[in-house]
Amino acid sequence: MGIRLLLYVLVSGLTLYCFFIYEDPVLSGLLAAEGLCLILVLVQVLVLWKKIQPSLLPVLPLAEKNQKIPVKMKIQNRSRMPVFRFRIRLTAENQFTGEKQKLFTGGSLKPKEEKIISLGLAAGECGSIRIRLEKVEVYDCLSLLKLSWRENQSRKAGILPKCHILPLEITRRTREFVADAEEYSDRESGEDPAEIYQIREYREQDSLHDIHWKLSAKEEELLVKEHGKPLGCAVLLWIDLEKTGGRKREKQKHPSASLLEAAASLSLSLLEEKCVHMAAWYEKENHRVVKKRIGREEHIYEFLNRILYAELYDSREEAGQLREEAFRGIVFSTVVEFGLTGTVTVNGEIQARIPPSPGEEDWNQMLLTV
Amino acid sequence: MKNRRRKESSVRIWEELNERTGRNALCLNGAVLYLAMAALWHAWMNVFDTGQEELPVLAVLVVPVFWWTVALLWKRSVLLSLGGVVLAAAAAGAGWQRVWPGVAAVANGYLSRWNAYYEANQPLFEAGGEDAEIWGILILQFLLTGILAAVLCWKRGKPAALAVLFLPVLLGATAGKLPDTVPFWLLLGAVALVFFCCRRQAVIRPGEVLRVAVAVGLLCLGAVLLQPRIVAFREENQDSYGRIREGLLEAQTMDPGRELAEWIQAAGNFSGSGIGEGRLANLAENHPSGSREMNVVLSEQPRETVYLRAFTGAFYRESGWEEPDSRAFRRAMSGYDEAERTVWNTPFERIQEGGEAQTAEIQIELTGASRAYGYTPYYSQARQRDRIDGDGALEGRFGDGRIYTFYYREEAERLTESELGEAPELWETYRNYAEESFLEVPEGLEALAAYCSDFSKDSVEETAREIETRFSEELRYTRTPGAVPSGTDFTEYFLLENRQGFCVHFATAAVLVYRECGFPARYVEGYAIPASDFTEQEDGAWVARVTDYRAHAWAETFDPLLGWEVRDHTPGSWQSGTEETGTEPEETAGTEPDETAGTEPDEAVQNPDEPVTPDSPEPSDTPPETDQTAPDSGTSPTEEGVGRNGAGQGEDGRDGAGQSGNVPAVAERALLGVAGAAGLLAGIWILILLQRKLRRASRLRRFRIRKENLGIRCIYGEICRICRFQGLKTEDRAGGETEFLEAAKETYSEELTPEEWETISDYALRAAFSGEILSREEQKKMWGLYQKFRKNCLRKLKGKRRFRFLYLLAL
Repeated sequence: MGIRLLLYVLVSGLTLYCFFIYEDPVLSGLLAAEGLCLILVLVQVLVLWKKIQPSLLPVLPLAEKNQKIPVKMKIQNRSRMPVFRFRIRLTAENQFTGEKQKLFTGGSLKPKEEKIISLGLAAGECGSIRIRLEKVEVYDCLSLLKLSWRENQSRKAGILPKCHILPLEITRRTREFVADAEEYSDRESGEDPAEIYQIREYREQDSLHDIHWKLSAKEEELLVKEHGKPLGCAVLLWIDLEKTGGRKREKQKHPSASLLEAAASLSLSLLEEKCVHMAAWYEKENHRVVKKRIGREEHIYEFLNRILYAELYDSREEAGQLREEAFRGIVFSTVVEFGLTGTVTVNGEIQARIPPSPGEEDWNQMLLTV
Repeated sequence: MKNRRRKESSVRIWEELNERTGRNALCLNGAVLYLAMAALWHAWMNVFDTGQEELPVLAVLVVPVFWWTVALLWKRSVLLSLGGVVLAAAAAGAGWQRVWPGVAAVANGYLSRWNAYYEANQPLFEAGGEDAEIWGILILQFLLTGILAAVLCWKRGKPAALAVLFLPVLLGATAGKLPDTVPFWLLLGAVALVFFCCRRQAVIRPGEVLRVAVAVGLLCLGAVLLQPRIVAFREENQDSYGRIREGLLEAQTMDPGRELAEWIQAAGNFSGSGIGEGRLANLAENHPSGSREMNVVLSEQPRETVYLRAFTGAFYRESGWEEPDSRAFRRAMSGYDEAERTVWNTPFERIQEGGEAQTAEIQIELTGASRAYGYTPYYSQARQRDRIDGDGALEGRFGDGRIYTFYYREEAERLTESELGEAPELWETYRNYAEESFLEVPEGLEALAAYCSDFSKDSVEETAREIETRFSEELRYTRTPGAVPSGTDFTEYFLLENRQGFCVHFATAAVLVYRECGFPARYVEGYAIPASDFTEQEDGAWVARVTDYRAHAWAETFDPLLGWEVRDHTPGSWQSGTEETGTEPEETAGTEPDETAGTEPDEAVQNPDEPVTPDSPEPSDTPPETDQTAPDSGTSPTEEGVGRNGAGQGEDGRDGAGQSGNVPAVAERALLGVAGAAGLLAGIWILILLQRKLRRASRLRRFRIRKENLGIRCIYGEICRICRFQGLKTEDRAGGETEFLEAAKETYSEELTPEEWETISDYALRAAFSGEILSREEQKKMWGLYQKFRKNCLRKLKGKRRFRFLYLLAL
């Protein structure tokens, strides 16, 4: 507003100058018109100030990459004066990758009119997209002056990563790793006497300790109990959400979104191999480590739904300490760490590097041994 | 669907095709374009004579409007637009013989107006007939409509639209005529309409157009109603208006560098250049610096004081003398060719034709004096390449020194009519002009009129003698006369109250006395070089190295035979013939005896009471009756330079001695006040920022201290301070904190989570009572929580509270 007002004053000053130099009555009329016009437009913008009420309507919570997410914004003119021109600034930001884009939209409104503006949103990378309504500007009828004010409304939408099946090599140690769990396999027996997998007839190699004497007596047949196999997490997927740099003055780099995609792909690939595993990360908002057991496909989406909205952190020490505390006494066969620089580390050894924009071939060639 | 994809960002947000992204109705666009251009041409033909009727012009306007509406407003085709331009250029080229005369005819309309206003004779272009003119108009319409259509199409470049639509006004202003009322208001309406239609991101609805048209109409009506009041206000305050106008006109010709230099030197009528341009303000003191101004070489030993004129003042104003009106001179002498040169040379040529006097040659080489003036002796001949401004003075632009042939005044003024050659025909006309133009005395100087009432009016010589006598008796020469009180006339104050001054005062008073007595007189500034300043050189030439001590002011009266002659009434001035005993560094006026026409050459008229002699000390005592004020510009009229443009100046009389408002001085004071206030505010703001920075820096330093957990305790204290500021009553000691914790948890649940409050409390208690030093990570975490809390609280603050929070309390 300041610059526009200044320009207007300059033009009026020029008119005033001409008014003194030339004695033409037309100039006095022009001077009067400029003065009146300034008053009128000032009054108009002041009356309309903060009378436009924009609001973002709820958006789809989840979408896929490059899927169009419809966004609607409702704008209401609460005054009795028509708004000849208004402008709204919106920003869409991928909170995971840090990419953002601005959009200016606007229009005009009749008195007390309510309008819906349709927008479209899409993201090429997975993450949490935040649409923020930042600023509203209102102009007078001749667009000479404007007043603006800040708004702070936002909506979030999650963009799910695409899951690929990775070429995995699961070691025997991982396959045979027994970890405690409350769930047991319904497909195979194990060694946990706390849970009975099934009762069957006695075979020669069976141990006498396994005979279910009670049932055997009842059935008048030797019956053996098979123990259950606990479905513990043999593999831990640790997703590191730290911003690089760590110091304020260094440019804060965001981890690549392919990091999430890699984690999700590995998770799906492990599930394909019937390997129950755990995904964990440090959640900055709650100052805690979040652990998610993944035994079924829907667990992957639950994990993704949670991690998409996680904020990146920059205090490595705290995350490290909390990680230690969270996994104290818990042992995994394999720990896969997804690092902020795109590295995939298995039990401390870098096994793969995720390129910034991996294609299908890159995923197909990402052989991991867990 | 608009896709505003950025190259590098994978996030895309766009706007779906809404109503607002649709285009304005084609008809509306076309109508707006046509109406705007019609208003433009209506105003153009009102200001400039195109030789065409309005109807055909408005009829052919349809063609370019149609083209650009289709090309830009409908199709938005750059190709079509460029094609149109190329086609128009090709047509113009092919039909060159028709088009160019047409364009020339339009240009001639402007030139004719320009010539009429400035009374000039700029040659017109060779134009064709009426049908040729319509082609020229068509081409121009095409170009201008294209610009306007582009603005309407892309809704950018409103200044360009304004410039196009106001073309008749802008060009008319340069040629001295603005559009009449109706065309002007139509133009204004067109501008408003175009501006309205250029709103980006808005669809124009017909209902809106009507609403805005009504609003603009009401605005224009309001302006029309206000206009006569403004005109009436101006009429009532014509004096102030005139002063402001004169000031603006002078400012146009102002040399900022020179003005700045003089302002820095302060006071003093004679700046480094020596010439004060007739200023009567800031003359409380005069202190020449002794700077070298020029070298003057004479071919023989000088016989009298050489007066070199630079500046001529014709009109007496409150701020100073204004130069003669060259336009009035030209109007008076309009029937004669090269009137300026003829008038200038007539005295010299008449003396020359008489053959009774001997010429002398003078060469002037500037070493420091202003090059804006031509320093010419009296009765000299102007050279062919000299430029003369009316009958005022020769204009400067020295090259490598000027050489003049001239006659000594003493010898020339002794000649009778029979000993002079014939005067040219225009001399009589000039005489009449001089006798009419240089008798003006401003109104309101009754005291001066009374003072002059008992002066002899029989002849100019007698008047001169009386002036000499009375000035010598009543007035005193001093270089420090003091400032003229505000509201008092310069001359009346000098003559009747202060009675002391230097050459400017004496010269000004003398001119006005002559005029009161009915004799045309002018004020002159230049250099007066006494004969004693010249020293003989080996080659026989006589050279004087002139400093600014020789800068001088004197009066001149009009002699029907030989034109203007010197009347120097400053005490101590010599007329021709008497060798001067005064030497540098004393001032010229204080060392020369009085110089008046008609007195014997050897009569040195000095006021016996006058303490100013070559050897006398500089008078610095203040005269008893006067009220000396500091030589600042606040108590005297604002110093104003005199513009060379005499247009509009001088016709009005003065607005009353000392009674007119001091508008420029008031404006200057107001500006100074505003600047001072702004500077003060800026200083206060800087101080506020500085204290805030220092306090925050000190606080942050304390936060980092780990010894005895001081840092954490300080952070906790800061959090409590913020809570207190917000209105929560807390204890700022880390003990018995349960109530505080509960209250804070409840009140600030949005700013921090309950777990975070627990953490804060835990750390604060441990820091205060546990005896252990908390780890760096814990300290960092506490700091993080403090920042988060502060940021969230700050977000909710507005206006004064926010200002207090940030800048006064520096929280």
